[in-house]
Amino acid sequence: MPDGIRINDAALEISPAALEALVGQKGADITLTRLDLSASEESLNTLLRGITPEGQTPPSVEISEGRVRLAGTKEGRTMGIDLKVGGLRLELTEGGLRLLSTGATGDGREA
Amino acid sequence: MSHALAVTGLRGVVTVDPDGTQILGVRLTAGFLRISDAGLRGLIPPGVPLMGDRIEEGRVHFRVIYRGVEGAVQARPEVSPAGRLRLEIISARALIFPIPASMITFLFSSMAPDKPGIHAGEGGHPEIDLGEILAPAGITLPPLRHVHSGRGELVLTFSE
Repeated sequence: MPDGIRINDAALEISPAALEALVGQKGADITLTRLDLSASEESLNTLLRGITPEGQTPPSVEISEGRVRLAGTKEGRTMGIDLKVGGLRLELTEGGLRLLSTGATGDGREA
Repeated sequence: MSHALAVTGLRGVVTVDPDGTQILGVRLTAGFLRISDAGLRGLIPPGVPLMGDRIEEGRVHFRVIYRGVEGAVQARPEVSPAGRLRLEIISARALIFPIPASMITFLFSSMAPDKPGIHAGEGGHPEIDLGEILAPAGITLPPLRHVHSGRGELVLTFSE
């Protein structure tokens, strides 16, 4: 994994109380205020291999322009999901997290 | 300003082992570290006879306690040739009496605590190597390139 996960831009803050805990080696409490990461297809597949229980076939991911194909095998059955969405956005809402597609689809509308 | 430390413009790479089972470390290539007065007071670990006080334009103020006597020290933050934060001692006093800066650098170089990242640099002036401090956490820092101190804030610029 030569590139790993690339941090393109990030910002964080540490409060006075959190710094005291950090310096005293009692823990860490960091507030992230900006995050822009990118991961290659190879990096994602390596991470998927790492979180798959031993003895099971890890799922795989293929990324090509504007689409992501996820594939996995369980009990001899192969499942595939082709996300032809252009982009994905993760939002924080009052109810939790919301993942929505954002890119242009084949019909030219916002997905 | 409620933070002690703020990091902005952070760039780098998170490296994961080939099995994907663990994060090996974070290699940072650029970033700005902003240290507030509260950060200066909290950064120096207990046991070091030098305590942060406040930051002003071109100056950082510290308090020192030596054999029960408290003193005040002013230092000019600079970048050392090795890319460390160098605190050039420019004046010192105990109570109302001025003390030669050379006495402070002599005391610091002879009593420099055996803690990672804290060194007596050229002339005995304190030098702080944040890269050494963060290395045990698997974080690799690029060299310090620039330091600026304004009222209440010290800004360190790191880049490869």
